[in-house]
Amino acid sequence: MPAQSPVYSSLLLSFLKEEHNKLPVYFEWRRNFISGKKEAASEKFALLYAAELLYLIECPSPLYAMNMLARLMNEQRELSKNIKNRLAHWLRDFYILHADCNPPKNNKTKRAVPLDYSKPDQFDFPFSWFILQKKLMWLYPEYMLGCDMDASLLGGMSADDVFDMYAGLSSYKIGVSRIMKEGYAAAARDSFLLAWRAVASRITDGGQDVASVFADSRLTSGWRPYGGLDIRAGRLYDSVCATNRRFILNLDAHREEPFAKFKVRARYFEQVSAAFIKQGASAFFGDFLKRVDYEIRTRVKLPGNFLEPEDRFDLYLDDFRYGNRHVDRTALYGIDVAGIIRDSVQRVVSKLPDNLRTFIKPSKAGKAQSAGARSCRPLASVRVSVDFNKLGEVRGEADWVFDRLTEGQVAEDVLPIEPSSVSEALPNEDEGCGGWESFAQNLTSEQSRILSLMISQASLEAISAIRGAGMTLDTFAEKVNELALRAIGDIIVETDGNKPRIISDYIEDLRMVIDGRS
Amino acid sequence: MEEARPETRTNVKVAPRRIASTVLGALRSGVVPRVGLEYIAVGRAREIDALLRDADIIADGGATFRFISGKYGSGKSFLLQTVRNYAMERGFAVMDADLSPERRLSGTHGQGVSTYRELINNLSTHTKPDGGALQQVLDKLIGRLEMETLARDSAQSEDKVSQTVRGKILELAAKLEGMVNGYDFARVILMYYNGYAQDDDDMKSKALRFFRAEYGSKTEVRQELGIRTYVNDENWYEMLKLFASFLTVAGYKGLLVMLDELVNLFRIPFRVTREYNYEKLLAIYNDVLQGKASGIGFVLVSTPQSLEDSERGIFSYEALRSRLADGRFADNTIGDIMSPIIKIQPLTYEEMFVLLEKVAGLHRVVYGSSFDISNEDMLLFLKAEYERIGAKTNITPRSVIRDFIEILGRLSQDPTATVRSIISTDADCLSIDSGDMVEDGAQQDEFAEFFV
Repeated sequence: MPAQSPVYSSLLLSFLKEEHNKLPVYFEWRRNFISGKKEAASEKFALLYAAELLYLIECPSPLYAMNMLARLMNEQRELSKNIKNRLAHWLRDFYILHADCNPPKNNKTKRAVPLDYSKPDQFDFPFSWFILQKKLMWLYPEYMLGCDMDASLLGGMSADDVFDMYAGLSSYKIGVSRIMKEGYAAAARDSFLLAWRAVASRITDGGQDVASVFADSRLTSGWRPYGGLDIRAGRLYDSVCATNRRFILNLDAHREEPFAKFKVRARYFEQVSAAFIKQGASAFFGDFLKRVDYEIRTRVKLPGNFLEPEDRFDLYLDDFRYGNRHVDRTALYGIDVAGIIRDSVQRVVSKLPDNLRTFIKPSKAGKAQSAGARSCRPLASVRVSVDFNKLGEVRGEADWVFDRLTEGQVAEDVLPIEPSSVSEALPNEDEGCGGWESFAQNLTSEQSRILSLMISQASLEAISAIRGAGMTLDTFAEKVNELALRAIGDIIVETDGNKPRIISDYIEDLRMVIDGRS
Repeated sequence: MEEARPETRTNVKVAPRRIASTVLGALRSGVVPRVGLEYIAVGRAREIDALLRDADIIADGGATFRFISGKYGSGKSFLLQTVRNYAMERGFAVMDADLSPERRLSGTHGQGVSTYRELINNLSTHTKPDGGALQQVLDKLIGRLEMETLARDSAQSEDKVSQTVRGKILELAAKLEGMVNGYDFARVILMYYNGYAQDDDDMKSKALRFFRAEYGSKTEVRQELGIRTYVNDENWYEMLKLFASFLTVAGYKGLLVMLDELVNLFRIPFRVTREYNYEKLLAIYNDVLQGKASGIGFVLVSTPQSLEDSERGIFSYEALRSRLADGRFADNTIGDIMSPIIKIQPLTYEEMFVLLEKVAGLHRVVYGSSFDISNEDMLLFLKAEYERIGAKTNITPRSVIRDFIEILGRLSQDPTATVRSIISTDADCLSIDSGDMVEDGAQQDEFAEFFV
């Protein structure tokens, strides 16, 4: 994982707080640098500009930012080795995050950028499974979401690697848990992967990929590129007009990181508020693994007093959901993560060998084995059964609901109906056109004439006929619809306030009714 | 699986093809159908009965207040839509709105009145079930008053009729006058009638703007309508009560107000704002149940967490918690439908089975399916659904039905396919335990068993 950058933070902090009067100078230097002038910059300027580039502020593309970063490293020879190293780290992280941009390939650029970013193993630290996984997670989320979480898709990662990666991300250190020492490491791994896959696929159901869920939300920071440097929504304006814009700047690199909100007013920075945003290890995965740990201990009856962890998964998902308007809310809500973990652990544990399915103290294991499997009875699976004797009752209840919902279906005070017609409230079309006949009988000649005009698309004539009859469009529609509801159980005329319209499904039926009358 | 299982399918309600088609289409898309809900209502008898009884209370001039609490996909919307349809078909007016960060019960930026606006825009009646019935409701009142006038003496001149109708509206005003803002409310109705009688669309539109809460200040409303009241965050609930009374006079049985997505109150980040909203909820609750409101019913849809969370949920507001929480003798396994909160219980396997039967029946009506789906097939399907990881707590009728309709579709299109073959090729059936259905029929004849 890249090193933290307290140096950078403190530099930037002091720059912002104490030397903000130099901002116009910075803006001028930046303008010159962009236009191609080779002008020496102070380290603070270089870092500030690098930060802007890393977050693609005013950058047309990642490739542009990458080129500018390379130029910065190459041209600013006065920069200290420490700063150059830091820039190199950032550049590498930048590449990981924006791998879609084509790294510069010509010789000249190669000289400017001493690392070949297309060959990860040339980096100054091992391009480990961790980075690879993060890259996959950030850039190719489908790798994480596909049903086949096999080694080939995960860039050669084994199930152990994937598990280790998440264990490394999480705030709960499952590696030191007792279950790992007592022979349940594989069970923990399998349970975790099974459960996480199920949860991830649920989140994907809502059209949201799980990678962005956990990369963008505050649930986890995971790997923080640029060593924790974080400028969001920030933009250092060199235009006088662009004042009063806010941005958030990371001031520290500790676990509970204070973030300060700044705004630029007349080129001067002003701190307006401070907030704490949790950074560091992922609490979500921490709780996830802790729950796996707990469920395994419970299932295998591991001695010890391990309390049930608090179920905060709804809160995590709600947090995410609330901040992401594009997410299908319903898809995220109600995912019972704890339930999924419980199920997964149960499945995995039920497949364990007898001597592991129920924990036996090592000292007694030999005796127990020799005594046979009597003491290690398989855990009872949850049995789900359909009792066919109850179906009649359920059906009867459904019929009762049907009758309750359909009795007296038309409002008595609006259009009184005879009790005998209640059972015909929803006529079966297959039984013939009795409904339409009754509709035709109750239709007045005026309504019939207006409907006829509407069928023949003579809307204006229909409207004037309605008005001529002393009705508004709505009252006409209501009267006809009431008849229709009584006769066929649905409305047939719609109005948008200006124009009445016959619902297309009924035009042909209505035509026959009107023709029949005439 | 034994063959000698009792076949108890009787008295199957056959839906008309048109309705079956609508229902099936909606279920396939995962949404609650607009019509024909009675054909698929299974296992919600107690809840539906409770809500229909509420409707009866409203029709008798009472007022009701209910929460429906259940997880995502558990059938809250289904229940809501069922009651909505039922109420409209029986002459109620219905208003519904989804709460959101912009639409709350109370707020400093007009979030309360936004909810009111949404409710008014979605005012629905029997003949205008998709909302936008405000003008129709007003026209209906006027039409009714005119008809009554003409019925007494059909030879009256137009002016005379108009004068009589005005007089009747003033009588209505007198009825509403006792209520907060009732006088102004009735004056605006009179104004609407004047516009109607004089064919003055501008005047009508001004009156409608008042009802839709489109005036933002006293000055504006005084200039336009000559009154001092406008709908705002403080009085929108009073306006709803006025609407309820007015609708009763206009010939409706009452007003049913439905608020969905109450979780948005739970999500309000600031405690003070959240509590203001809960306070408003408490005010409505007290008002309704103390008999200060009449002809109005509230149904609020919530999730268990947003209701019961002691930190941020409705129960975090002690006054509401003490009113709404279960008492000492409540039985959580069945749920008390007489309490203000109706907790939706998951469907049992038998209920799910009957639901599948009904869906298969609808499919048969629509497509005249030549294939027959047996009990074993449905069991096999249920097993596949419940075998999914986390199904015990995450499975919902919505997802099961959608999958089932897909299978029915494939069966009807491919005569060689069987339920077993479809399920076995379904990649989504995640399982590391591929244990087959237990086929030990000898043990208990009346049970079909499988493991998850």
